[in-house]
Amino acid sequence: MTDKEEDRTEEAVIRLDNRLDELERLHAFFEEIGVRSNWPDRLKFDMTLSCEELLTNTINYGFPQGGRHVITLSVQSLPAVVEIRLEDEGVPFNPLEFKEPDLSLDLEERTVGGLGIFFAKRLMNEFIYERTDTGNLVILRKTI
Amino acid sequence: MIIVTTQREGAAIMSIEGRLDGQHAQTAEASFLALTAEGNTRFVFDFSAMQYISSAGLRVVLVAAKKVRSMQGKLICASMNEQVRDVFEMSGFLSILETADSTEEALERLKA
Repeated sequence: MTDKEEDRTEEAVIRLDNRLDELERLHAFFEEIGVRSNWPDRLKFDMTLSCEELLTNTINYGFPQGGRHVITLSVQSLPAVVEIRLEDEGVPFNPLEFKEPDLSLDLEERTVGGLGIFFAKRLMNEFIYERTDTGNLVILRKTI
Repeated sequence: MIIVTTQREGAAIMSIEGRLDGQHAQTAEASFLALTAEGNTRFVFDFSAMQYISSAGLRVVLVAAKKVRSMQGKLICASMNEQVRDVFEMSGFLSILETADSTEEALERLKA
């Protein structure tokens, strides 16, 4: 790899509506940036999964008043770290305060409540939440 | 996501191809429930062509496993690829679900 390639930074932004069928565009977005940034399959999978989990939460619970809302996702891919910023104008929700799932329960008692956020926390090296003037901001960082 | 359903040796094989995510989970759940409504109690979920699963997809598998248990039937999840398997592993589901390396192996076990 030449020095020039190592210095490469890729940036991309996508604005998604609060509808589950927008996940189609989310996957296409990560396919594209994954190819452009030379991500291994595993990294692409982990980034996509973490974002889907947070996005699905926001779509399902962020806008109890209904209506169309935009969620902005930006990716910055550097040689050693990938940073994601997810911003919405939904109701205040701090994923870090969400109760962790009990993985030891048996089949009858298990639910998937909290599992998505647990995945994102586990797959990322840093998970930052900020309540902004207009909504929520989550920053995820994954060291490569 | 595409779902292909096959009946073989008294079992219903549901092959879930592509992505079992928040967008497709409801469709997959409806397909499974339709099979139970037809009287099926023994299931193989064939994941050989599944590229991706998220917690919304795991929820469908959990709902199915609970339903099958209430019917005193059996469900085996077969042929997960490595990344899909890791999601099951992370969730702790591998210890509460029955899995097999292939559909053939799952069918053998359902016969027993």
